[in-house]
This record gives sequence, structure tokens and C-alpha cells, in this order.
Amino acid sequence: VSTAASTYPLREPAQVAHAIRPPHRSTALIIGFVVLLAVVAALTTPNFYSVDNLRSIVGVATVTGIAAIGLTFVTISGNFVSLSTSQSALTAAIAFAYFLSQGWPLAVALVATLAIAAAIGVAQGWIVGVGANPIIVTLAAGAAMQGTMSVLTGGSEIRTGGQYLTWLGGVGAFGITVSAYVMLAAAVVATIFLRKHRIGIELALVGENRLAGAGTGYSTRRVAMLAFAMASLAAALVGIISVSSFQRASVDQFGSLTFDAIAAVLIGGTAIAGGTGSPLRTAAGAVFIAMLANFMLLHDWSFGARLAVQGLAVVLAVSLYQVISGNRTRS
Amino acid sequence: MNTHHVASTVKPVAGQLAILATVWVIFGIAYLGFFSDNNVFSILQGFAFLGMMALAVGVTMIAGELDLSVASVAAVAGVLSIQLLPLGILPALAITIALAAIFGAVQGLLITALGVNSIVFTIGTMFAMRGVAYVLSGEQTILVDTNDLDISDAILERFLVLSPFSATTLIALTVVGFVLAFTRWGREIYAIGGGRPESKAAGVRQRRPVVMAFMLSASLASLAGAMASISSGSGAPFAFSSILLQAVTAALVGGIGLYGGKGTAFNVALGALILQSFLSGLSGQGVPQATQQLAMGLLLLVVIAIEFAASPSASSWLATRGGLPFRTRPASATRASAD
Repeated sequence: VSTAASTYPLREPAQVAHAIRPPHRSTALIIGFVVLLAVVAALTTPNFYSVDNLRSIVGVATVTGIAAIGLTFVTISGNFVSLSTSQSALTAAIAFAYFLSQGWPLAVALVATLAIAAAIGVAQGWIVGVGANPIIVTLAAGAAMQGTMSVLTGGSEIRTGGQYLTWLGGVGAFGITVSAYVMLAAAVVATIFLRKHRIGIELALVGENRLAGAGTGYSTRRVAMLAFAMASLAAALVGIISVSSFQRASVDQFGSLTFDAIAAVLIGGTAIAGGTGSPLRTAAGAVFIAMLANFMLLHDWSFGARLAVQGLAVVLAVSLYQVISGNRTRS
Repeated sequence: MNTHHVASTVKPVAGQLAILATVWVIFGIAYLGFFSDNNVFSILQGFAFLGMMALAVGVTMIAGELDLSVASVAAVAGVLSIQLLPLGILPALAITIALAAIFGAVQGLLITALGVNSIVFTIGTMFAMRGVAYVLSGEQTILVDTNDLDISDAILERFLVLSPFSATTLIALTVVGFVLAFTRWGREIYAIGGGRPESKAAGVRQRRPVVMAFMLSASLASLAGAMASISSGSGAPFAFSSILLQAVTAALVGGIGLYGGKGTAFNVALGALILQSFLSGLSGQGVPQATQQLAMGLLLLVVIAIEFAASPSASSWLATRGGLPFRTRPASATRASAD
């Protein structure tokens, strides 16, 4: 913290500490949400704690969580959210499945897919960094990606044809999927990166205060490019995991990923104004979303009711965190 | 408000007119039936829906906000209006629009009272309202009752190349355009969109314009969704999912500024006409839906680039701007402001 403070002469040390250390109230709140839901589920839903059901919750939370951890970078950097998460995932999934189907070695296919994802993210970040509204840019980029993939695949499914990353789509220790460990590792690494690494701190500082960030020589453009690259790579990872599990990819996949990831970030309490946030809390947000969806499914709620409740949950979470942070500034 | 202030919000439209002429010339040559009565009528039918939706989003963009819930509101209105149609078309429309106006006002009030970012808030309501559309319709497409089919037919009636739907959109564009440009409440929307700290310093109310903008956007979206659904004879909960992208693109193509405070209803109309001509032309050429979507996405990216590159005041307005979270400021501009 002290080195960070000396590098940013425009900021008080206390502000820097605030920028890189998330408010404990948000952490308490997301843990409270999860515990509350867990208790309600235990009291009302007999099958909720069966091993199979818990496994399915973890499966859903993992997919949402990995994409959402990447998206957290975008939000912390002050660029709101991306509306192209599911399109990034399906682009990566189709590319990866196609490369494998062409007989490319696994490592080459993996690197090529991640390179494409990084390029797509950097391109969006560059446009946003120049000054365009991130919501509109990602909306456009998402349509362009979905359109490109529909044209390239002709709407049909791409099969990997034999070889795939068996271990990534498989089950690891304690009967939990490998991808769940991947999510946990990603959350921890991302949190440490954002708190301790110079570039991670720069991202949060620029997100918190663009003017001061730019005034001290930090580039909002570079930060945006990094943030959107991370979001795109995380979405690509979801696509790659999906191909590893199912050995196929198509354009109609990942329909709800964009909103689920946004919901996880916002319910996890990452401030939409930028500057503060935590990938670990985002992971908790993803668990909450998965539990909520599962709870409503077990109670046979209709698709529409589930969608409405999830939308309302986001509205409530955003409002609640806003009230909390508003109080913080006033006090 | 003085004339200088009014003039400052009018953006030059020569570029837009040139684009429109180009689109018309290209498709007029490439596609023989492009200017036939039937095709012009069908372009105007598309324009009726797109123009009204673009106006809905455009009003919030002028206010420096963004209402992402318009497509879902239109879907709810489509289902609701068809369920209410046995009451007659005017009561059905009136009830639907009144409910939407209340929803919009509450949304605007919450956004201002909590000080929460409108993009994030409306992402939540976008999904919540989509869910409401599914619940309301029992997850199925609602068809107009056979006894009421004459009402659907009435909306589709043709007067030369106009229909009641496209005429309604033209009236809505005119009325809303007039209210925005010449009334005090409308000018306030421009004032807060053009620069919130400055408008506050100048004594402009901060809450009323935002509430007004969101009330207008929800009302217009519900009118568009209801008219489109009634004229097609069915309201589907999954309807209009691609209209948000088209509406934003139309508003931007027409010259509604990305950064608020700029553009008029005329810009919206022009943008919607350009985009609808473009899309109809592509359809007429047998271009598949996926390619149209790709073209739309690329078009929007190009417009964003032009909007930013061509804006002579890009750095000056950025420099004078306060801390509105809607906008992102380029490093170059913020550095310039430090000088």
C-alpha cells in the first residue's frame, strides 16, 4: 500500500487503501445472501442438499463464475459490464471445436483459441478506451460475433471429432468437477493480482478515478484493453470447458451466460462505478445465482417467473450496494 | 431558453442525408422492386416500429442515460394489449401505455433517488420485464381473438404508403420532438444530458428530467410493442429481442450523440429510415438473418468510430464534463483538461 501511495501523488493514502481493499460490508452482505438462501432452501426444499443436486449447483455456478470473474475486471476498471460474454464464449467454443476437428494438436488449438479471444477482447477494450460507451460497443461486438459464427457454421453443430481435453471436462478430487477447481483458482489468483500486482492496482485506480489515473500517467486505454481481454479470455475458457465436456459447439449455446455473469458480478457487490470489487465475491455471487436458479427449479417455478426473480435480484442488489456505498461517502 | 441554446442541440444532418441517398441509390439499382408501392409500404411498416423504439431509447440517450429495458417493455405491452383487445383498441392501448408510463416513472424515480447507474438498473429490469412477459402470457404466443381480427386489419389498412401504425409513429416523432425542443420540461432533458454539473449550477432540476425521460421511453416502447403485436395479430413473450441493438444503432446513425444533450427527434427519424431501408434492402436481396445481424453489428461499430473521430469538440466537451458514470473519458482528453 505504501508503494502504491507514493506512485500516485494525487491520492491520499487512505483513498488508495479504500480502492484496493473492498469494503467489508459488501463481503458480509454477499455471504449473508448465500447463507440466507441456504437456510431457506434447507427449510423448504427437501432435495436441495442431495449430493446430485449440490453437484448440479456447482456445475452451474462454475460456468457462470468463470465468465463472471473475467467480467469483474471490466467492472472494476470503470467500464460497467460487457454484453458480449455469451457471444465470446460461443465464438471460442466454435473455434476450438473447429480447430480440433481439423486435426490440430490440442495445445495449438488451445493457444489459437485463446489468442482469438484475447484479440477480440483487446479490440473491444481499445474502442472503449478511446471513449466509446462500453455497453454499446459490446452490444455491437456481440451481434458481429454471433452473426459471423452463424454465417461460418451455417447454423450447424461443430463436432471435435475424437480428441479433446478430457481432464478439463472431467471430474477431479472429491467428485467435484475440474472446472470448479479452475474457478476457485481463477478467483484467488485474480483477487491477489488485483490487490498486489502493480497492473491490478492501476486497473482499480483508473476505475475509481479516471481523471486522477490519467493525471498520474496511467492509460485508461491500456486498462480498458486489459480488462476486456480478461473478460473475453474468461468467456473463452467457459467455451473451451464446454467443448471439453460435450465435444461439440454451436451458435445457440450460452444463451443466458451474459446476464448470469453480470448478475454474479453485481450481486457479488463489485461497485458499478469502478474502483472496488473482488473476484472472490463474484464467485460467491455466482454460487448465489446458481443456488437461486436451482431453488426455483426444484419448486417448479416457470421460466418467466425465474427470469423475473433473477432480474429483480439484480435490481435489488445494485440498489442495496448503492445505498451502502452512499452511506459510506456521507459518513 | 434562447435560440442559441436550441441551435446548439441541432446536429448537422448532411452526412445522414448522404447516407440515406446512397442506400436508396444502391438498392434502387440492385433491386428492381425497391421503390414499388408495396416495398415502400413495407419499409414504412418496419420504420413505424423501429422509429418509435429508437425514439424511446433516444430520449434517454439525450438525457445522458440509457434505457436497456425498452425491448422487454415492448414485449410485455404486446402481450398485454392483445389480452386487453376485447375491450376495444383504444382502451387496450390506453391501459397498456398508462401501465408502462407508471413503470417508467417508478424506474426513473428509483434511478434518481438511489443515484444508481441507469445502465445497470435497466439491465436488471430488462430481464425482469422479459420474465413478466412470459408469466403474463403463460409462456405462449397470445393470438388476437377471431372476433377482434377486424381490429388488426384496421391497423394494417393502407392510405397510399402509410398505415395507422406508421402514421402514429410520425405523429409521436413530431410531438415528442416538439416537446423536447420547445418546452421547458424537454429543454431540461437536454440540459442534464449536455452536462450535469453545469445544469445543476444553472439551477436546472436534476430529478424531473430523468423521470420524464424514462417515462417517455417506457410509454413509447409500450405503444410500439402494442401496435406491432396488434397489427401482426399475435403477442409473443420472446418477441422483439433484437430490436434493442437496432434501436440504439438507428439513434446513433441518425446523430443522437453518444454522450447526451445532442440530437433531435428528426435525427431519430432519419436514423430509423436509413437503417430500415438498409435492412429491407438486404432482405430484398435474400441476405440471411445472420448476415444482417453481422452487418448491423459492424455498422454500429463503424458509427461509434465515426461519431468519436468526427466530433470536433470531442476533447473540449470531455474536458468540461463532470463525473457522470455514463461516460468514459479518453486519456488524451483528460490530460488536456489538466493543462
